[in-house]
Amino acid sequence: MKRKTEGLYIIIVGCGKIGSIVASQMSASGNNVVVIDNREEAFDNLSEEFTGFKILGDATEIVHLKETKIERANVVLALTGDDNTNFMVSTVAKQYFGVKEVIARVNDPDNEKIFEEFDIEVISPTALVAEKIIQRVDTEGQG
Amino acid sequence: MKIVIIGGYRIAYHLARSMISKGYHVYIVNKDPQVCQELAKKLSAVIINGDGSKKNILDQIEFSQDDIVVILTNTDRDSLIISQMIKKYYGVERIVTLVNDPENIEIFNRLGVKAAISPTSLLSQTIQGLLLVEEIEEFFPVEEGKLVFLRLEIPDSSPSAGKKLKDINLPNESIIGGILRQNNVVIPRGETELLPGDRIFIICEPRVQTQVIRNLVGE
Repeated sequence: MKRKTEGLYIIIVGCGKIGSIVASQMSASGNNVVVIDNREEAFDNLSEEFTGFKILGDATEIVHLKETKIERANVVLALTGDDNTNFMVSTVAKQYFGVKEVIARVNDPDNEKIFEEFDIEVISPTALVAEKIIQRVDTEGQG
Repeated sequence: MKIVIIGGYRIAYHLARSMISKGYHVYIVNKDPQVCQELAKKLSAVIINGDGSKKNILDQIEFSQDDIVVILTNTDRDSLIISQMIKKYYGVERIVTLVNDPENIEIFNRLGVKAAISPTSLLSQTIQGLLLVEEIEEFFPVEEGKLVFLRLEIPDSSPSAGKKLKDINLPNESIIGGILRQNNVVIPRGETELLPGDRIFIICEPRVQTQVIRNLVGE
């Protein structure tokens, strides 16, 4: 990812456990971050370092995505726990608003392929955790 | 060729029943086991209980490319991923989707789902039509509401009665397609005069329908 000195304009959809950590840290390191979630209490997850914008609303309704000025975003991160939401947000960001870099959290490994068909970068928590566990067990076995 | 209906409850039932009576093979996919049981009792269709946005459920359908798929889930995010999986994985092109948020119609269109129908926008256009004037005898939106057909009668009080069509200020997004005058069809030209009692047939974009009616019928 290119890093400009003035920071990136990043939109994060979903402010749950993963989204809030990413949002807080990206904001703390000097990026312009907008986070959107339809549960008001989700924003409590953000750390004090978060200085970006919070938008309360359903990101699968295009009016709310427009509020985030998504067409200007360098990066859109779809990080909710629901793959169908992440798919809609990602494809809309990519195909409709022309955002170049779109990364989605994909919870069900069966869904990865459909995201990749649309040139959306996939992060799979399931695969990552499984990989970590296997690595850990493997190194233990060797030691 | 079969018709696959994903999601929905009442609409799925009525649609399936009507398609079965026309002799089509109907498959129904529904998340809710109770709905599935009930539909299985009432319909001679293949019923699959499961989440239609999961590939392992869709795989059970054994799609062929000439199938027609109707997506009736009540959230657009579910409908969108289902429509895209069906296109990409099984090559099915004939997809009809119910869209809940009218603003999402364009997104579905852009992602290759041409028949994206929003009951909300159909209803609101119909209501607007009803609210306008009683002189509208017929009103129906076509092509998912992109075009509207109007049939209206010119009252004595019409600001356009007695005027030539070329002198009537109609929006560019509208056209008068025909006039029925005392049971004779008049094909309208610029020189044609509108008379009270004429029945006129109009095709227009929905956004100008109010203006069209105002100019032809009056307030």
